[in-house]
Amino acid sequence: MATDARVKELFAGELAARASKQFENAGENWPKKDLGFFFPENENTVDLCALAVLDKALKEDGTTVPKKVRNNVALLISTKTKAGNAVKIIGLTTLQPTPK
Amino acid sequence: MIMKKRFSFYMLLCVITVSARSAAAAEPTAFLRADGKTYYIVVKADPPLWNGRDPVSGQVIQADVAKDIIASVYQNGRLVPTTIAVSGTPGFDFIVKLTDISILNGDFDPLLLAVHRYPTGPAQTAGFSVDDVSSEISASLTQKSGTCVEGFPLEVKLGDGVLPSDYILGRLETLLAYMRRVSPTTQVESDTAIKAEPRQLKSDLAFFGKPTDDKRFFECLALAKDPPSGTFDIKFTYPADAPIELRHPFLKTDIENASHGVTPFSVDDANVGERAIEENLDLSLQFSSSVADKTVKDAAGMDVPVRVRDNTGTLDLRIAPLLNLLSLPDPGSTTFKFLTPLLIDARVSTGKINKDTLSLNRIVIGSEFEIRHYTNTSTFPSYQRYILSFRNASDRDFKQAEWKGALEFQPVFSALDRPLRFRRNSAERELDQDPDRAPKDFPTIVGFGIEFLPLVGFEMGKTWRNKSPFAAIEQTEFVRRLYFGGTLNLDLTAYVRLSLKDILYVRGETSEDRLRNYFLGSIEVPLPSFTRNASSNAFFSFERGAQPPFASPGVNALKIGYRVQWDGWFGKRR
Repeated sequence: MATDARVKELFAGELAARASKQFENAGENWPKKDLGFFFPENENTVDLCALAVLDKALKEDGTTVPKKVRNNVALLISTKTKAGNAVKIIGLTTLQPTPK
Repeated sequence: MIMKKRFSFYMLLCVITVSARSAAAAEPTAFLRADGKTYYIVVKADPPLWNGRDPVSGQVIQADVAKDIIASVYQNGRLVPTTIAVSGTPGFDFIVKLTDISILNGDFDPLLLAVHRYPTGPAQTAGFSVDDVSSEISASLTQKSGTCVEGFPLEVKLGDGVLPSDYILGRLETLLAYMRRVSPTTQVESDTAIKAEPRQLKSDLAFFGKPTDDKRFFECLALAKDPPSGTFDIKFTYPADAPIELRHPFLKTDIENASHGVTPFSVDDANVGERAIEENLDLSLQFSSSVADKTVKDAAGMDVPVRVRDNTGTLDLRIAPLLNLLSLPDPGSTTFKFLTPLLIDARVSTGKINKDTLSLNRIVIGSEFEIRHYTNTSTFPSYQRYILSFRNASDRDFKQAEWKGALEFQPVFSALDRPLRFRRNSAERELDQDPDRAPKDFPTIVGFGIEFLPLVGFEMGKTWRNKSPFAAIEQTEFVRRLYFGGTLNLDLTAYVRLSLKDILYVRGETSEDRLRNYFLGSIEVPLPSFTRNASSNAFFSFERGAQPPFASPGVNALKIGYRVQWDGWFGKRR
């Protein structure tokens, strides 16, 4: 079960690996930064980072989501999205439909 | 009298708070709970409530410690009727039962618990207060998710620092069952509407998350009808007798429902086939009526000038039903693929096709495929773009048609794609020290930036259908053309930018004049302002050579310019 705290750890790990200098520069405030701060003017690298976090969280949970849902995550997260909001979007996306 | 009562109430709270804070790291907590129609506050005291036993012998010396607890609950400064009992709930010391449940009706005001005195030992007491006693479970509207894009997720989860317990898991299940049964009423207020208006929710709302496993869940509150475009507020309200966690309205403000941008008045009059396809449909219809002098033969066969009115209707169409047919990279992959299977770029008009109206009668149909492979996904990425396109161009009547295929390779190297604008620094704000506010980002002014974008491509094409050639339309040769070059932009600090573009064409369609080159160089210098109301810049550019289809002689042009913008003269603005 991917909690928001766990997704935040995963996201921090991805940013530290992919945009180490920017991540270091942002320090504790990284969740308040727009993703464009880490990946300037490039929606593709934002998508790759966000989807890597989503895929890792889902793998830890042992679940998957349909392709359409992955596409939705990429649509919702852009260079203008704050990193903290991206964490929340991914955390909620990992939740599976509630059984009736 | 009321003033006096309130004054003594706040004085009391101050005393309690001070005494509680003087105790070492005291962290008492209190939560509002519900059991059917019974409501109570569970209290964890710190230091803990005395158990009534002698600390040395362990013998019970006071059976009922609850009678020594003096606690009050206030709502809006008014005392709320309560009873106190020792808690049987693990982790909590005592409970304060609310005997008047009417105080919790609807969107009730917060409760304040003041424990004036409670025993911590045989002859020891302490006190504390807890502001805003709320449930351990919070419900709030939150970010959209990949599974709730169109709706508004209402998340029900444990409050900050709250650990799961049997009560909480049971309560989550209770809330889930209620929310499945009862939907909130919904109101939407557009920024451009005078009043808020009710909206219906979809009948089959989706839920995500399992209370027992995830310790949270959310309901995707999706509207039956699209929300208004532009900016709007939305409010969801459960009935007044809903579970206490759902009694306050859920309001989300300033939601942007981006509508399509305003359609521009003018039509993109660039050449058909060279215009960008960025929309699924871009259609315009024009009707023009003009008068011009023309010469016609009179009865005697002499040319005579006459004024003739010419009416022309024009259809301008760009359509791509599927801008991209392919999905995002699979997990682990860093290759994006884009396929626009069909695009039509057309401009056709009424009347005869001649040299003057040729550009008004072109229809281009084609498709485009791109592979964009990332070898480095960092802040300054490296990637390669392979663009394959095929296009067929014809006249309005499909009497003469030509095809053109092109393959282009554009590598982007991390080390050579670092313009100064990509670099931003971050710093804490000095005037506003609100910790929740993001630190400021500012552009790098001093430094060196480079942006080198090479390209190499090959294109070929030929007229393949020529049923009834128009004199105005020249039949094209079999074109085979290799080209390579690139663009180099150098930022010499943020104040000087040097840009160089050079492309060499190797023409296979002709044995003479096989090599053609095109060069464009420019320097842009934003100049310092000589007044705060003015800005200026200087530029210099040099252009030499020719570009496809090489129908006209090459250019050799030098441009030097200076531009200034200045306003606020005589203290007036418009």
